[in-house]
Amino acid sequence: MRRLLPCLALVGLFGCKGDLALDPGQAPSTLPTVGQNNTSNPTNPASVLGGRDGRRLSDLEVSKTLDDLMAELALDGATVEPPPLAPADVRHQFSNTSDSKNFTYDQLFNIMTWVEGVSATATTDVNALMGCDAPAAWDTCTDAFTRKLGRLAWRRPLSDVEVGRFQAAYEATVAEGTRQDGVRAIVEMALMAPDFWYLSPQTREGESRLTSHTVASRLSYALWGTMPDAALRAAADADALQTDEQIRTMAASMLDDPKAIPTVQRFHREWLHVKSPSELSKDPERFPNFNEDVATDLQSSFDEFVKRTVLDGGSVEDLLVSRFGYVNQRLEPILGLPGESANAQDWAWRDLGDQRAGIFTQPLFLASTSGSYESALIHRGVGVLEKTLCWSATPPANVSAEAIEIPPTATSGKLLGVESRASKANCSSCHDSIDPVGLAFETYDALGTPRTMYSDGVAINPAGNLELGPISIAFNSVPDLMQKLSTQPKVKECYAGKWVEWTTGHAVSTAEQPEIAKISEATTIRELILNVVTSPLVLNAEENAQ
Amino acid sequence: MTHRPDYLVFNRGRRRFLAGAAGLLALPFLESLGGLHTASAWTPAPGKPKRLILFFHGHGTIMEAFTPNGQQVGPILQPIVNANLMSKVSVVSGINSKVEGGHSGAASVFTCTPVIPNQYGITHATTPSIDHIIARHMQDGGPAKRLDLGVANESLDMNSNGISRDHTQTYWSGDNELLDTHVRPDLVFDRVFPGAPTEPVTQPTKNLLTVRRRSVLDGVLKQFGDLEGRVSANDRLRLQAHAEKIREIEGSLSDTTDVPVSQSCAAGPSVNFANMTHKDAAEIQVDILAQAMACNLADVGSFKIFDLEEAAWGHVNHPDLAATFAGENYHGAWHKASDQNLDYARRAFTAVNTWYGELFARLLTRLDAIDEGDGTALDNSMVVWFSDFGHGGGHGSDNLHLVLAGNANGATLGRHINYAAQYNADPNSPYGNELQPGNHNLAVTMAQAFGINGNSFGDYTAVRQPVSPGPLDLTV
Repeated sequence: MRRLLPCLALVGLFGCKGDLALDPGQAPSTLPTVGQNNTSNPTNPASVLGGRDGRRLSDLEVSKTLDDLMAELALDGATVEPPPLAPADVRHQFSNTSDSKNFTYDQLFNIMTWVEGVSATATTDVNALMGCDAPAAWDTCTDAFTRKLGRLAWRRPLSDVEVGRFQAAYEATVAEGTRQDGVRAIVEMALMAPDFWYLSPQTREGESRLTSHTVASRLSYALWGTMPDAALRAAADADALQTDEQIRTMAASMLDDPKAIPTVQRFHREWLHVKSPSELSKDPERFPNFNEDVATDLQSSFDEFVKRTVLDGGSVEDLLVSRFGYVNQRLEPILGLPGESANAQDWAWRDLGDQRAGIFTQPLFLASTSGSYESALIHRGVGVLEKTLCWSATPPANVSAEAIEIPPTATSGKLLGVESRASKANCSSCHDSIDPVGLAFETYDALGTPRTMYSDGVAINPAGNLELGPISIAFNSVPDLMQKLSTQPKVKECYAGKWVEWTTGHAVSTAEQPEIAKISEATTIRELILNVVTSPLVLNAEENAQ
Repeated sequence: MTHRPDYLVFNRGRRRFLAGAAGLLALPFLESLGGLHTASAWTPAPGKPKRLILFFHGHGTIMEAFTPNGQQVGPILQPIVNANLMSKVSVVSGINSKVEGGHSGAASVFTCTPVIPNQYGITHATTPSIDHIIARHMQDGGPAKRLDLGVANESLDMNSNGISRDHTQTYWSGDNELLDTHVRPDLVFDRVFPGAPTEPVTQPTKNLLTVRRRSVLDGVLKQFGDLEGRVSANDRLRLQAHAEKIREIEGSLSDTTDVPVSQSCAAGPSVNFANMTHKDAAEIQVDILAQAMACNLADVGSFKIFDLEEAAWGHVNHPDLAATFAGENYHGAWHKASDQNLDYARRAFTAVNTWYGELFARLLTRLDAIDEGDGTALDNSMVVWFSDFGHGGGHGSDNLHLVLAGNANGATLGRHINYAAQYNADPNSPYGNELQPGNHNLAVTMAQAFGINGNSFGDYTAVRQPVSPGPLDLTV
């Protein structure tokens, strides 16, 4: 049997820049003229809304916002389909990145019809929705409802001019239909407007500092993944989110709110790019006890680890080296633990022993960086380096490689690939860093269970050296590696930078590194998050400008 | 006249299960396609195709199992032989993707322009792909009428909204505007074929909806004006593009009731979504696509097979699949396949790609069973099977594997057109002769088939290989 052993088989979707040069001088209706209909600047990679000072809501954020909006309108029993948006591309970025795809015509048309469905549900009982029994003519009741809805959907008070636009849409519709039709028009305009879809970068008059309303939105979507709640809206309306101290106090209380838990957990799932339970599959012969329940348990355990470590006062070091984890009966054998749990519902926070070291040894991460039968050495190596050191791999120019004789049943066969890559200059430049880390993580199988040898009897040696730029670490095991990585300032800075990305929707630049370093000086992750949301990188639109 | 073939027996009892149980909102998705109403008034020139259908999967193929060897057809195309449809296809070897190599190539195959990376290195196209330009041309520059379906890991996920995305991003309407592909057949079915309306849409109702939409969109557009004044120049560009599409929607609103399609089309095909596998999902999507296109619900249609993970491949039932996917996702597993050495991964992916051949043959068979009076729906369609690569294991952007079917701009079919051989190159190699024709020539061929004048499309300067203007010579 032969097997290709390519360099870096999983990464490297980078493109090449080039000038656009559509063939000029063609008559109308010819091909190039049609191609030139593009209105955006095609050579400018930053031609997206967001950049540093604003961004589009993600599909998940729109969905959660609609749920909360319906609840605010006392329509929390109503069920609304998710918005017709493609899932975000989270290969190398977060779901809330500002660089999500631009809208297509069909997407906007489908959004329009989706919004019409929302308005139909919302106006089933118009009087109940509006809180008054008003006539069809525009009156104080309709005006008040419009201002209330606009305040919620646009995350700021409406101006009188804007209310006038709602009134125009309402009256034009009522002229052809009923009051209910007019109210539907109000709801639809609120949810179709750019003010709903984009987080505005509005600043204080004559200043670069964001307004309290904008700060409230940024805090809410960063920490809760949804629109501001009543307390946050009240603080914004009172302009009480001006100073760093005010914002820090508000953010701290938001982190104490249970609404922060799923957002913090989602940040870490997306950061490590772990799979959802439905995406995990394992070979039934190799892992006969793996099933959908176990997959769900893996995520529950991961989420609880994040919650306890991040929100209960843990540090970045704790995140990387903690031996503790959340375990039930089904996870005990996977974690190599003695049976103490009574059943699958009997969860406990336990010391997992000296084979575990933080979030990268969580079985969900290890199972996600594996195939159904075997662990993926390169995936794990790249994953750890990308996530801890913000290192990004560039694939070699030529990925074709020589075939190496490997029996398909040889689970240790990947070791030959490590040797092969080490001997090739265009592979070794990256793999000399990737493979030692990946090899150390071979001490966990495709489900995250500790092991000392492959199933074909070949021993696994986890000791190695990580050489990457200024980083030079000799280690004898994964816990040893993670312990030594956790003391590197670069690791804390990388983690802090990810929180800035999460909050602003934009990757950090080299020029922002000094500020990132200051943010990372926090003792706990909670403190680090508070540093992020009070940073000029988040609060100051001018400093965010490209 | 539209004929409903026997396999499309209308059976309301078997169809069913929109996620829309009572209380859920029905999403009028694809209303842009006209829903139950004919979408296209497009009339092709005599002898030219009237619709474009694209069949795509990423990662290329196992070349020597795909490329005909003399009169010998390999296993991947054998399903077309079995369907007695080889006379209606041409296999084309030796087309190179001229602009981008590697995985960036997917976004440039049909745009023929360079892609650019975003802030995270993920690339996107900056110009429309040729399929979109053709679709707009068919609507006199109006909104494109198209139906993009596929099968993906999410096809069976009842929590998914049915829109999927992966790294092979092929169809674009503009700068960073990726067209969605819909992968849940149950949702697609109920939205494309919602059944005969219980009540006709009355003119007053239609007028009221149009008035309301116009009023709403007018207010929305005024908000754009306010917001554009508060954002950076880059943000303004994106907002302006957003607003322009809102204006297009506003301009497309009609005061008149659309012409309904025939009852047979409104009824739609019979399908069974119970205990669906990924194989079932793919076949249902192919059937829906064929029927919808034959009903003129769209001018351009596509079917895409996303990267399916190992759990989806049980139906292929090949002994080498487990070893091929060991420790790898679909992409990584492909890297194990090599044209140079027959090994288990190549055998496994030959089996996988033979299933792609079966799906393509199914699409052709369904289209060919629909009599349109002046030939079958297949005879009246330009169908293109393509990928971002040719040689899958080598990620080769030369020698794309390609099949043209139906009406390829009036060219005689039933042949293997081997451009690589013209330049003394091996059509199965990851590396062709740089003088072989390219994706630009294919795009121009497609455009000219639909009456768009011009000999060039895309970028002829920022290319990795030289490329000449003009269409493919399909007479060689």
